[in-house]
Amino acid sequence: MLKLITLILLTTSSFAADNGGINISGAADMTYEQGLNQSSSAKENFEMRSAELTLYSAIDHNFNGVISLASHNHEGENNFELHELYVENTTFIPRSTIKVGKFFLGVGRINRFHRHDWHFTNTPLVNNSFFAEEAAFDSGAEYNYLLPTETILNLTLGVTIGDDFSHEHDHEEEEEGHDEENEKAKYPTHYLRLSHFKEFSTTKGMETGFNILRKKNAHGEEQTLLGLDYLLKNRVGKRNEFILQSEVWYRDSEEEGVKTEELGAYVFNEYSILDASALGYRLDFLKNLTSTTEQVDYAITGQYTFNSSEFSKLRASISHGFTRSFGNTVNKDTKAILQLVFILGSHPAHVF
Amino acid sequence: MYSKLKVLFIFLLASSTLARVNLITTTTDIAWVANQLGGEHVNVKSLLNGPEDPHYVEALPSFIHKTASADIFCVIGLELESAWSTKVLKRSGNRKVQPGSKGYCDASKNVEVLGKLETALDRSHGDVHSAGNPHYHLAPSYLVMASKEILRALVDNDIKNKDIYESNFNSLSRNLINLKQENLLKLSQIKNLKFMEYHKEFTYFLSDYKLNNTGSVEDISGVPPSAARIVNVINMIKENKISAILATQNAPKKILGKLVEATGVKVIYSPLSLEDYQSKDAYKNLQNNLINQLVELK
Repeated sequence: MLKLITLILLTTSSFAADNGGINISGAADMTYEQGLNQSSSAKENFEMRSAELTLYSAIDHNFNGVISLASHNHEGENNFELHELYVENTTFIPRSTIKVGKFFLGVGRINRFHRHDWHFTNTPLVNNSFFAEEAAFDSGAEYNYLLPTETILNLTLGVTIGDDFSHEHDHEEEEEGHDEENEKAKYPTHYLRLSHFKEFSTTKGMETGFNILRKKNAHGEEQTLLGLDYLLKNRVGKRNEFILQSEVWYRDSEEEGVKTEELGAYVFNEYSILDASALGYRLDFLKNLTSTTEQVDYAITGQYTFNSSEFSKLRASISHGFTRSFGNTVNKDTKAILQLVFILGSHPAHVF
Repeated sequence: MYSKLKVLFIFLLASSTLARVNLITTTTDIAWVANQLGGEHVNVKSLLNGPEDPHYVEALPSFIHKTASADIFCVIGLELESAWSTKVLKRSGNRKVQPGSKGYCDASKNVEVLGKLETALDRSHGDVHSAGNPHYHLAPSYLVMASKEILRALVDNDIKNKDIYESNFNSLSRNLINLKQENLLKLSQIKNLKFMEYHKEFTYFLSDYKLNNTGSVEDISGVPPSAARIVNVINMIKENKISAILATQNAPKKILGKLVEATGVKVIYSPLSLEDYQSKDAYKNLQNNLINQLVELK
């Protein structure tokens, strides 16, 4: 993979005089976790969590292309892998975007964004459990349509092959000896997101999305996910004055006749303070509705973010997670996390 | 039966006559120009309302929604709104207004750009626009230059009203140049005074009105000045006998307050953009607000 990156960079510099308008962007994400209680799962290590290199440009008058390579820390080693590789058209069908290739699935809120762009450091319990630590991504096609109505409604439909839901899975497969034939999904993953946007002013808006996703993996486990995502944000100048973000997901799984229902949610709220700082908190909840142990996982996180500019941020957070069962606390995990994110190269898009 | 057909024919004729060009602009200033050029033949909407800082706006889904049904999309250009307008255009799925098509209009195309960088700078120099300073609209002569590209887009998309648009352009150019001449007369009383600007939003304005511009308070563009820079600026104000600092409403009042306290310099505030672009007199009122404050310095 490193050879591939070198080749891409060399090719880009060789054609610098006529690079066809190619944009190059690099993003780095470093973390340090410190356990604050005995049973903490903190890594207590300064970790280069990810480095991502993205190339994007118009391919020709019809198509845009995106190639994104990311290196993730996996047990001390940084392995580069293909994150995104897709071709996109925005002109064939009015009000539409068609994407074909490998990409983050267009469902929920945080799944549609790279982790270094999130407003918090760690993955919410529900997203980690239902999707992946970073995000669910897969190869397939996605269609996005902005409805021609007075009300601002956006419809996303996607179909993906279903056997590559997350990259964490890839590492396990590599270790176990991946058998491609036996890892094929029983049917393609398919999903829908219908979102509504309400503009309060040119800096303040609210988006609500309804999501449905179905998949059946190689082992015959069939899952139906229903979700609601919500965002209320006021951005004035460089600062997000106020953010209220939430996702609620319900998952129904069935494997070999055994049915499991789970419900999870998070709520995140952040306020801007001083010129470049923000204080926020997040509440997490995850429950197995069919479990006989009445187990519920909770987490509460408080955070401080310093935004040096829109290209770099430093974030400190303290997180306390605990599991309750039959009215007793059975596990506690308290940790402090320091995160540093920076972006090089092309200007990132300002997206709501 | 015949009378019904006649009504239908008249209705269809009226609908086609009333079909107006949908023109979307990023900021209110070029929306005002588009209104002056297009008149009743153009339906103009600005994505921003005026008080926002156009550098840092986000691509709201409502912007994408409005752009999806536009015939023309106009930007200030010179990278001012590129962080969000590019996304808006792409996600709109509207092929009529994509860069390169006749419905895309970059108003900076004919502007004699100031502050164009000869050498490439990196981000340690702040929010630098390598293509040049994009804040040209406060200077009447430069706004005339910008209007030429808006005229081109209107003519290309609605050729049947070409004469009307060209006549409106001539009238607008005349009015803006007359406005400038009137203001130059007023400003002749203060032509020896020296000015600074907080951010380089008044460079074109000061140049167009032939006023002395000693520089900007910001050392790194888009980044509030450090304590050391504030001390330097205080010395600059005292040494150069700066009469006033020009700033928009988005400039940090606390920092400007410190400069006032230390030197007694005046701060002249102005909105960066028009807040009532539907009004014919909006641009004149914005100019008069600034000019009157400047004249009071004499």
